[in-house]
Amino acid sequence: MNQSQRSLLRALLFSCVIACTPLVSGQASDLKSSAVIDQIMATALSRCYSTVGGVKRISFVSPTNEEFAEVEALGQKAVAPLARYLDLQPKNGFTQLFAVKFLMAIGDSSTLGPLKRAFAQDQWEVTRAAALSGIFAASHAEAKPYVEAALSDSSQLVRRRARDLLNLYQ
Amino acid sequence: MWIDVGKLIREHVPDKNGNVLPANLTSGPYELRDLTNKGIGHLFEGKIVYDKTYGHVTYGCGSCCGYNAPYFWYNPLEIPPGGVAGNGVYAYDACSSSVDDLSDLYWGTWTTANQSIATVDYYAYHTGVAVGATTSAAHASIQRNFRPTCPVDPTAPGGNDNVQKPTYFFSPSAVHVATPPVCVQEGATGYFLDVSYYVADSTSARVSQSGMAPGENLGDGTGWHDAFATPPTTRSDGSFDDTPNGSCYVTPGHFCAAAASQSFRLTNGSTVFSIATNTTRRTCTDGISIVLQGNPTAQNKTYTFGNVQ
Repeated sequence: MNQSQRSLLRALLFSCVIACTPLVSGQASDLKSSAVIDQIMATALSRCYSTVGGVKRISFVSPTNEEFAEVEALGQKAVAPLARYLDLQPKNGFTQLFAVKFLMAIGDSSTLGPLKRAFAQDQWEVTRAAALSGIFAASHAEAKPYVEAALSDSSQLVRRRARDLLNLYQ
Repeated sequence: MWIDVGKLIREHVPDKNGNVLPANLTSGPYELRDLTNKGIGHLFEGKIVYDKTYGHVTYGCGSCCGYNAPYFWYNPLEIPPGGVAGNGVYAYDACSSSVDDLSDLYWGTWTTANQSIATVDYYAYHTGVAVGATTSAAHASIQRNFRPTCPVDPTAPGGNDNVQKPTYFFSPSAVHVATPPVCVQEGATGYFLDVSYYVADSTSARVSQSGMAPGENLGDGTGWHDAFATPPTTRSDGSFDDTPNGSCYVTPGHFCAAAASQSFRLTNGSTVFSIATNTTRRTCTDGISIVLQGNPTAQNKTYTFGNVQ
């Protein structure tokens, strides 16, 4: 088992430990949502690993339509479980990007907080650029200061994304 | 409105730009312009002199001004499928040598010839109903540039409308991005790119429409991935990104392999469009090559970063 998969397993075990305690129905529903998200995240990450010519290859493979549909069906219940992955340590980049992509698919204003978190400097630049797009899609007005600040970001990708998004305000 | 030109000269009254008329000025041309009423001017001119101490006036009528044939802002107007595109009317003012926007005179008169292709509202916003071509027309009376009378004549400009068929993904650029932490954690090396795309129609015109979902198929049995793009649906300019595109390998030294080729489609509402663009990819421990094909030749492209030999 590799390090990224071990991180995910820890997250799954964390959910299980909480799920073993007696709960009221609302909490049970939240834990069920959390378990669904954990399962989807683990499956999506495992799809990124393959072998070619006896060599292990790691590529980002987008989640399936069914996985997106499941997350969208959970709606706001999926936001908190997805947000948890943004703070996972150590960050592997792909998991946080999956979380951002799922948050963007949900797309409402409840995703703004986690997306802003995903834009923080401790995230992989691809995750940050995606998060900036997500903030913009959820609220052009909320995104404006982030887009403007990103014009002088240390990442070329984030700067370019900011320029592209700024053009869409005009 | 009275203008005492003699007083303007004598008292050196500056205009809005600070310019004054010369003190020895005795004659010169002038023109009057109606800044409020476009299309049909409401001005007429008369002259009278009540003090000839400093000069005189030769009577005569000023020549009128009018517009050349009006025309649409956009002809053809490209309308995204299920989307909205606005149009309007310009006309050339022969006196000021400028183009005036007369759109408001034509509001409420717009029609399209085939409403199963496109419809148009009061303010000339066109909605694409189905892929295809039709025409639009609008009408209004405006003052024409036919001197000396500059008659108010009916005009009926027309133009073509194309409801676009998304056909290609064109890529303006790609940038190399940092290797994801997962590769470092696994002891792997590789190259990753962010590839920018926008949707183009069968004539290579950009389809500027938000909310269209690009999909990719990697031919690996996992089917279509209709939210693979970032963002999952197009921005208002029809753009999106494919990111991260690449691989890393857990092996020492230089190693390359073919990566899954990409086929594309685009879903807009309930309509799925086949996209002619496709890619082949070769990813290495120290480089990447992505070949975009299926487009018109000028839009086919190869992105190569690092060592892919």
